Amino acid sequence: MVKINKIISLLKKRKLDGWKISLAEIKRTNLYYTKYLEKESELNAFRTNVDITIYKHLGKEIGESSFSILDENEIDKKINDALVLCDYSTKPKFSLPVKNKLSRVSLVDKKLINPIKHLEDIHKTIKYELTKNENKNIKPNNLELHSSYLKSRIVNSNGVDFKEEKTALYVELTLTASGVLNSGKEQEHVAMKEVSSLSKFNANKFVQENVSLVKDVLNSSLIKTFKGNVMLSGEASSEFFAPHLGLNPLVMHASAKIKHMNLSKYNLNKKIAKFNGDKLTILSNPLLKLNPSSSLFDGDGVVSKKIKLIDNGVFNNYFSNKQYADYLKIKATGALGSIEVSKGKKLAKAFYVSGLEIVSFSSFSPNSISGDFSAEIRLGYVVKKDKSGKITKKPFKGGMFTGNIFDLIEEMYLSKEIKETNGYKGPKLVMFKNAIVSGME
Amino acid sequence: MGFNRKSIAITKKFFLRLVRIMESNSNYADVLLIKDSSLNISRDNTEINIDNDNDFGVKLRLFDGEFFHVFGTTGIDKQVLTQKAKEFAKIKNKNKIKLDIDKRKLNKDFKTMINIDPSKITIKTKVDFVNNLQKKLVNADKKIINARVLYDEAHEFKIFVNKYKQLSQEIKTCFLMMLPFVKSKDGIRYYYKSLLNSGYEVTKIKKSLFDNIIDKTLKISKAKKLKPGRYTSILSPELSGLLAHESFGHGMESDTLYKDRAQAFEFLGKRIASKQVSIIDNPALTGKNGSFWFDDEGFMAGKTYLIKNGIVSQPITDMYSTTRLNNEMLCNKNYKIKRSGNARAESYDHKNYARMSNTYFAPGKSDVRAMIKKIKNGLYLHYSSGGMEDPKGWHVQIQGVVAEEIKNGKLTGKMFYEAGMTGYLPKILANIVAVGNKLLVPGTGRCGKGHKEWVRVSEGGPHLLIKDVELA
Repeated sequence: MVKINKIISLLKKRKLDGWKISLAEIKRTNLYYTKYLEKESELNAFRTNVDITIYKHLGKEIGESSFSILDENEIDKKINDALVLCDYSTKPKFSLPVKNKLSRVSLVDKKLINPIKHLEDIHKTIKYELTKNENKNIKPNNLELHSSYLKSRIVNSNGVDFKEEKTALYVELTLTASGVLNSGKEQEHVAMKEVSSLSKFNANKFVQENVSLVKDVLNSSLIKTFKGNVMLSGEASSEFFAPHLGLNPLVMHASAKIKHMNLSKYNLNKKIAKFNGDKLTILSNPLLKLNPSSSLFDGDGVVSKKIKLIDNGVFNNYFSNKQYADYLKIKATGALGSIEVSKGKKLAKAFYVSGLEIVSFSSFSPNSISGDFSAEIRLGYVVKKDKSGKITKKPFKGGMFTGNIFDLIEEMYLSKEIKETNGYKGPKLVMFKNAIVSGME
Repeated sequence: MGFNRKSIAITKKFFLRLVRIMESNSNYADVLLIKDSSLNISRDNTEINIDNDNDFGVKLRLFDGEFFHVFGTTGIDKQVLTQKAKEFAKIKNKNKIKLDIDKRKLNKDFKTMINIDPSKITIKTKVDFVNNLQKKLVNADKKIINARVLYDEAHEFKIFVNKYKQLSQEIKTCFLMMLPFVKSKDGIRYYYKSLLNSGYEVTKIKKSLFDNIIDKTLKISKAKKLKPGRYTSILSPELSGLLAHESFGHGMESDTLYKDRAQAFEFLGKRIASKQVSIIDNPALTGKNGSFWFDDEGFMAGKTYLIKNGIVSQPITDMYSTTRLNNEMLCNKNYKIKRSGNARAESYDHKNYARMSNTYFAPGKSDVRAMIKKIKNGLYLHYSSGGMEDPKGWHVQIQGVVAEEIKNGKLTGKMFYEAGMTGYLPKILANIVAVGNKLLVPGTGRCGKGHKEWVRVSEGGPHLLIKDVELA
């Protein structure tokens, strides 16, 4: 086991121009269930990562080199190697963060530190919920319960010494619905949820909501190409603003690094698009209580803060680490957190006129620079409102939601109701006018 | 901690002792050591970064006749591992499932053969190469506003030990990515090209390749948006590989099949495409991103035909799901799944799953020039930014497709940027008109199971001529 205090004293002895230690200790407890929710694996793992960065002043430039260590006895040799690499890894000078006051936000659920009993309870509840009579055509084919307890620490040569503890619970459940009268038709739905606390996960509700979705997937049909009102709700609205992989281009262009690379299309205090609908306000909030995307400080030891990136459609602020903040002569903002999107003026029900509602994508991965995207639809609804005001929703599957995010937001409307998920807090429903879904019929 | 012949032998001996301790209650046990290290040099207009990464840990697994108990820990702490093995030894056998274990004995060490060993090249030479290539990309045309070059040399070392196998493998790869950014009327766009080799020879870039990168980058700056519709298309090896990967790669993973999560199960042994279509997964292919000698369960790598001459053939497998598929789902059918070396884990603190390695369409007989000549109005699909699997629904999603117009049997140079390709898989396979005669497996990416569990893979194939490709 690596002794962090010994590393600190070894680094101090070397009289380096600057250094940083990043320590992460992760304890994982995962349960894996195969079909019919039979247990397949129980995993307990302990991971320790110690990464060290060495800085060397080279006139107007700074050399920087990182390495990871497994044993403090190897550190002297690795420092020597890193000092050589610093001569080649040069960039304009920037300063290291200094000691500052951390915000006090709870990110730990103590029950998830030794979670095995709680994970088994979740398994039992999900199994019980699925055995209910109304769910006889629903079959669970896979369940994964992952919990983690992370202890991280950043120490640097400027006196920063921050510690943070976080817990997380990830639940992935695959449900298959089969057709009636032995038609042989089957469809599946993969339900995923990540939270920081058991109190934010209701297993009964999770099953009920997703059983309803998989039944709709089973009864879905194909659609023709459509241009008009497209609504995003369910996981689709949060995935649109906070994709599982990568950053939404609306956020990416607010990066100081992207600006410094001459790739950002944003200019401070200028509109990011012509807004004919609701104007967009986007914040990065790394301080949401018990949200897995929250962090008290970033990887350099800059204290995290809530920051308004886009204010009423106008670019307001960059998010930045210390290096790029120094280059752009702005303040570093700490870790990027959950994407908070301002709510709209109307309730979601006001948007249900005629059009399409998408609740789930296969994967929403826009090009974070150009803003172009095309995402296959796992489940959506054709929404119709008749003359009496009655709304009907017919499920569909397949086809692609396609376009460019910067064009799309020009005709965007946001619901008054908001929701919070991992990495997103904002409208439950988003509607785009003149949006395109390429059909498969 | 480096490994040489002596320390490998000592470690194997220690692991065998752990296996014997764990198996004292007639359970199955194995031990896997994973040590990854990499040197990463990246450069853009403003800075250069050099990082050295190391990841090293050990995983103990015990199967108690019902499920696996897995323990992973950083480093190789003999005391911790022995204590855990002793705890595992107390677990009683539940005797519900008898794993299909490969009992062929083997004690062998494998190592990548390299032409130019990157460890013999000085850091200065590597940094100079990255700096010069980045400058060359940016200076090639004033429309190119920035470029990122990434050089990564990876060294993966594994030791696997169970009652029958004592194996080690050392795999070295050098990866190079070029990413020029270009201004267009619609904003900033980029082109990328990645290359992989076992050795430093990856840095020997031919002038024709460099010129091609610049040409594509500039064409992309003028590229239009594609009108949604159905197009007769030629898929490049990159695209045909991605189609193989997302469709019959994920759809033929034995754990996915066992969980009734793939339609392919109903088609095992049945025809799904014409005779000219074969899809292969092959970790034993030399020098590719998904290549290895043995998997994380000690099973030797080999070629698996997922589709052979149009017939759905053998899945890629892990030990647990193969056992259950054969014993429970296929026992009444005249069909038995063979084990393949495809059980892989992201790291020592992750579970093994059945995973792809190098996945590709087998080559056919057609010449790509003849394919292009056949098309009056159509598209050549160059590359994409990625895809997503849907083994149950068999809907294909490939996004960020960059296409080029084909008119009257010729490529016109008119490009279309970032289209999405979709469709129902059996229909796409049925629409394959011709299969190219030249196999390329250029993929250099990572593949996730859903959105997690990332492992290195490659994909490729020959060119495919497909009618009615749905592009949005």
